[in-house]
Amino acid sequence: MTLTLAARRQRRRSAAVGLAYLAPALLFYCLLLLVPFLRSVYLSFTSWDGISPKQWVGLDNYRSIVESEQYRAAFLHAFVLIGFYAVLTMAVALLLVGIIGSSRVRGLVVLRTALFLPYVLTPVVTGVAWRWLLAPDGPVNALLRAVGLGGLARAWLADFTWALPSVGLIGTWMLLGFALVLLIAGVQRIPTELYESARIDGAGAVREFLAVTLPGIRNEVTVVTVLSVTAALRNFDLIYVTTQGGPGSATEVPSFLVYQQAFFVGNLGVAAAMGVLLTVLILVLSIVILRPWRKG
Amino acid sequence: MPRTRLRRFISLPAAALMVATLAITACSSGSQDAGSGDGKTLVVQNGLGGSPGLLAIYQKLNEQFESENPGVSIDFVTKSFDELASTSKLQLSGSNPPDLTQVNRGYQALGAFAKGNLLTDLAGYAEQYGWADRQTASQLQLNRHTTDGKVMGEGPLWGMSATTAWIGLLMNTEIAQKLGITSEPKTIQELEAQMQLAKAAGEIPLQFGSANGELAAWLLSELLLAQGGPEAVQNLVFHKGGATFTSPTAAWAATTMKSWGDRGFFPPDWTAYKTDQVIANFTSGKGLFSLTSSRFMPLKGTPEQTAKFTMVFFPSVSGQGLAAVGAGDIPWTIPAKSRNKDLAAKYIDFVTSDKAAEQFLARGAIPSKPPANAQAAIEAANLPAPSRDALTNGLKLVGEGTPVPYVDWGAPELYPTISSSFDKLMSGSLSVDAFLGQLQDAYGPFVTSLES
Repeated sequence: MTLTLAARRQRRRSAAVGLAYLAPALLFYCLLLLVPFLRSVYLSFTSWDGISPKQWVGLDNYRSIVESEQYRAAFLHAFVLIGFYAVLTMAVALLLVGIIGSSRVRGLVVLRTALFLPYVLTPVVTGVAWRWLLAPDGPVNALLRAVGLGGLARAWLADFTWALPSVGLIGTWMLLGFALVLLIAGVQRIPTELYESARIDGAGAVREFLAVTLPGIRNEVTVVTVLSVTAALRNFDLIYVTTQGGPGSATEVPSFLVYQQAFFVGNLGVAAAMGVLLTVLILVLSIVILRPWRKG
Repeated sequence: MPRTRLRRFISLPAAALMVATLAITACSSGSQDAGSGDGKTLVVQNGLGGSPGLLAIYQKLNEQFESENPGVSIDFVTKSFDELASTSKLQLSGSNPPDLTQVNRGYQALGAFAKGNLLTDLAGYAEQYGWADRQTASQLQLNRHTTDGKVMGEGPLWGMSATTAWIGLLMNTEIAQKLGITSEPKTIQELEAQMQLAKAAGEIPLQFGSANGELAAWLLSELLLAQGGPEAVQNLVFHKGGATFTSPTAAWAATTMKSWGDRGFFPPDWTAYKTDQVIANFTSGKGLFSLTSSRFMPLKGTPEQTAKFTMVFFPSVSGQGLAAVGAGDIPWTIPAKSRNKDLAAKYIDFVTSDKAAEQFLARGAIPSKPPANAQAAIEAANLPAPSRDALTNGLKLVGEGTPVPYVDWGAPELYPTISSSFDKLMSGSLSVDAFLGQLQDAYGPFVTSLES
């Protein structure tokens, strides 16, 4: 359908008006996000201690990151955390949504608030609380011992095998409620006629879930996935408060190493390069997640 | 419609007020630790957030300084050590640093600041106030750094430490008596034998924790000292004598640490504990020994409760010599852009004076320059037993013995590397050679880069 000249002019005007409304926010975005990011990209090609003149080193910082076993392991740990923060959270949330289904949930307002709370708490508070809960003589181990599972009790956050999964599970705890609230809201919006017609066609609970529920909450699933993946890659506060990268380097993640390099070792070029790599990773993953859903 | 008009009437001024308020708060939220430059308020920044005992002493000292200098008021800004260490660089290179601040030492801190001309050379003030006579050359040495940032321990004097802390062993004399131990260990062999006795009797031989890497770095430093003497540590820190982490001394230190872990001398789940928890565990009565710094004095508890604890020297292999890891506390420096340099220097002179030294002693801290009648002052202070021992032994160390710096000062990456590699060594995922190799990788290239 081709547009008349007047229609085209009108469209351009509304676009200009729209841009004008966006301008203040765009300004903040550029000043506080884009400009520092571009500066970081520039820094990542230099060797700088924060005070002396910068020295151009080209791709040396990136090379040292890629060649370093410690840094590669950190990115691996970040992917493990994605498994917990995003995959596990989504799996449990979808299971629960499948069980609850489209039935009316009583006391949704109170439930929503309670479920959302872990997501709203700052990670520092979450980290301190969970550090206490998972302490060698803390409540979790006490509970295990009380029910006769004392053999399973250990220093969760200080165990070489269990530290990273423990941090991952804390992340799942943080994000599960948030995922549930969004997914339930999405399910509530699916017209009941679709469920009725599915039932008429002889669909069981599982078929109903796959054919009606899942496609219906597609957008919510995308939002939750993108946010939980970025949360997994960005998490610095939780690591800093619970394990500080330990034991050994079992829970080192890129964001923590950026902090360490920048503020304690004084290697700002390497820190900037890590930051850029992390940003690129988040961008790529976000695009990958958003693409298939965009088509629909 | 009247309602809409009213709403618009109210909403426009309300919006304008909001914007104005935002603008005003944005402008007036200037940094609270900026120097004022009017000669009447001295902004003094410290990193003693984790040392409430020292903070209390400084409050008293500040009051005395203010009464001796009428018209001057001190704005004492307290930060935790981590916060100070991570924000100093930005502060000092900014336009409004504090008039006076403590800074962390090391190539990446004091060294970088010296290289960047961010601090004031204290030579003039040192001569004016006679600081060279007040502290020994080896005490002043740790606050020197060449202006190219390459050599620690030489070059201009950038700061003065008012107090000293040293690393030693806490000992529970009650448990010791139960085990038939009559005196503190004089050699490493004796220490291991005593720890073995404790283990056999079901006590925790050595309270320990590696959750924040600090105790691992201390243990490594003390063991290097125990086997190789002061030069072993000093050469590593000051980059002398071609010292490396792959030497036989280092190998002995690493093997010993590993053996202590294997023999069960550390508490179970020791990877979970940070330093303050370790000390708390020890003072709750668990453990025959614990590593400690004198800056943790006074220990928590009443004098009666802590009477069974004492602080002694970590023994050496030979049992000879009087040395321990110890250094002045983070030094007081004057930023290059400070606007109250003379007053700041006067403050430094005040906190390093004999009068201040007596105050530090009276409350259990070790002054860098002990007063003439130190022993009498300690007795008069009526301190709890472990504080008294920490003081007496500390003064002995400073007076007759050799304090050595912390080995992780040798290179910026050493501390995080020791932190992460120590656990791997103890769990067996790194062999002793691999562990030493990682330390050397964090150390060697840095030393080479400075020599060029």
